[in-house]
Amino acid sequence: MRRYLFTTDHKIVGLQYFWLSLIAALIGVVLSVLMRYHLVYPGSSLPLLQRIWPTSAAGGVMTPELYLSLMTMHGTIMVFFVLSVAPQSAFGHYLLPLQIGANGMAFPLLSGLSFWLTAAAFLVLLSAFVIPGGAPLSGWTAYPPLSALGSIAGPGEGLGQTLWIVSIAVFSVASVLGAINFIATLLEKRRAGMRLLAMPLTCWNWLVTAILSLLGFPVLLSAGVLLLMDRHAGTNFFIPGGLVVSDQAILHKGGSPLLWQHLFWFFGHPEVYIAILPGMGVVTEVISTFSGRPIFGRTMMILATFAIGFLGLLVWGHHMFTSGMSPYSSIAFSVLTMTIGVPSAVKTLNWIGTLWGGRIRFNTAMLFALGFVSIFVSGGLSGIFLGQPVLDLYLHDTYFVVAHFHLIMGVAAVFGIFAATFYWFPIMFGRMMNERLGKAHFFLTFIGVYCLFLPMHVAGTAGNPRRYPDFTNFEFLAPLLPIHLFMTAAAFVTALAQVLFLVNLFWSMRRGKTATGSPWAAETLEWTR
Amino acid sequence: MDSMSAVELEPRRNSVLTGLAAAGAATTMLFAALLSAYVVRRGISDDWIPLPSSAVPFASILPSVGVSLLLSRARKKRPPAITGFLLTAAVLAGISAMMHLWVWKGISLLASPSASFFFVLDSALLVYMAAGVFALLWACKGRKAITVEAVSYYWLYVNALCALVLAFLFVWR
Repeated sequence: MRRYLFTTDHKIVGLQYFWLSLIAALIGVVLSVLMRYHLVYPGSSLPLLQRIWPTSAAGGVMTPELYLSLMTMHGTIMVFFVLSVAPQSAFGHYLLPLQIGANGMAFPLLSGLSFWLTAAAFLVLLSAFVIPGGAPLSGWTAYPPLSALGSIAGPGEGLGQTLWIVSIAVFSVASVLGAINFIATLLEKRRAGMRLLAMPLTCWNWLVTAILSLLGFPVLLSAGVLLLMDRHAGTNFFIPGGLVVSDQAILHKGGSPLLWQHLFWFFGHPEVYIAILPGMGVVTEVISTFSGRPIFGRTMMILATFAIGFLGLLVWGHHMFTSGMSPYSSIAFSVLTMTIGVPSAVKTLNWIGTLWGGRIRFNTAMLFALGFVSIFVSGGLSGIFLGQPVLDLYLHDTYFVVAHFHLIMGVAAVFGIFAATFYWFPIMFGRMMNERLGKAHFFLTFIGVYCLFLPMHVAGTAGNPRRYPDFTNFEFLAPLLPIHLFMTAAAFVTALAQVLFLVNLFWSMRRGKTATGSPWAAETLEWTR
Repeated sequence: MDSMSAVELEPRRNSVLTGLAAAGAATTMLFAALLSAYVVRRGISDDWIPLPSSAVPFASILPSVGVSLLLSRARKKRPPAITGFLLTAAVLAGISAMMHLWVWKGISLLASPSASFFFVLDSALLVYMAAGVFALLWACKGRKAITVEAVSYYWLYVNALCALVLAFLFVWR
């Protein structure tokens, strides 16, 4: 017990992060299935809901407020505790020192500290489910004034919102500490003779991700502190004047909700690259290994990674096209957003170039890597539409946006996690995962996510708003109900398919075929140690 | 001062200084975000009342500059001489923090948005100063050259940060 509580061993810390993100993912998936069920059967009763939320789901019927709370927590858990933890902190802590020939991270104490802070942040967030008032309902973006007014703004906006902010603040500190550790390790602890350019591409992606974390999370932390002050100290950073909520005049004045949006999205856009870049690194390595060829255009891949990271810091305004900002600012953000497509295309074409003429082995890790490429392209294409301010005026806050970010950030990044799990399982657990179960899991998930998220684009272009707990009352949305039924069915099938992964994971840990040497004939250093 | 050889020390020194630089970048982003929020908030509303001008905040920089001077002397010394320098530096840092808190007495949090920002920014500065005092005491305990060097760079950075923040709050009001 002491060994795990006070460990500074990078492998144990990596595994701790892995299990934390797995638990978070399971909770996030359950929340999403509940949401999808409610959307198509809004008045139906689920006895389980009443047992968990006796007030918010009296009679087992989900209230609109409960739906919005589940939506908020789903987004927060998935973005922070799955996508920002598993690809970078989990696999990074475990594999990075091995890949660069180091005997550990630069600051082992920071490894343990960053994990326990992350775990504490997770527990604080989850506690919002069980406190009076429940979890917040302002979305993972927590826009003021809704998130700044306190319990008068709605259930969950009292202590629940405060716990959310505290959780995110602690997570931000943990992420910055982790980023410092990654950067120092990558720059200073490579084994003798390993020049920077000779580092594996996964390490380059971890480096750029760490730099983005270093620059982005402090901004989120500052915004969180200011929001806490508005909520509890009576300050006026984000709350404008003239508000009347529940027939009560709000005495705050002078603040700007747009200020929060700028601060949040300055972090929020690099965050999506924090979620996806490590997955890109894994995919690069997996494609190279299972094509039997070195990656095509290695130097360009490194430059593209930096370009994505750098440009990612400049485009936050494309989340705010409908906020009333100057159209000239919109043009600038739009042009920069289009520009990110260039290094992304470079990476995609280089993956294809690596595959071309290669001796491809279609095992599970490779299938997930190829699936990543497919989903990344699909999700990325819808981003080109959203990057046009004129189109975004219509598409903003519709299901088109939900489809876009779920494909490119949710699914693609998760495919990267699956690829990494199957690929590095022999190192992490000394055994091989079952290929048959893995392939079944892949095909069910791949088909399931496309069935779930492709029709969502149709719903979005038809004008289906997002973040509505119930749209069966709207006549213009009635024709879209069959699409939602289909998507909900796909969501159930996809969620059930993950059981295959869990069975494979836990069974293989105990009974999988023993792994020896380099089972994939890979050439990076982690397989030689 | 250290039992490790110079060859062994160099990679460790590089890691520490790189980590410190990374931490500095993160801190810079934190204060950049807060100061940009300050600039925006000042520009958009009509309820802005500038902070009362005062020399005490700027006087509080003097003891912390003294900390940096003592640390630069300490780096040239050997133990046990450096312990005296480090402890004196810790005392000066404490005095600087007390002077910051003295300024708090004359400002009310809700008097104006400028006062609200003062408390947020100065609290953040005090957190870093407290960490700096902890680092000085830690350096006393270990008396390693790497630690003293890192702490001296840290205090140089904190001094520059203090000057910048106070300039925003009390000069560009």
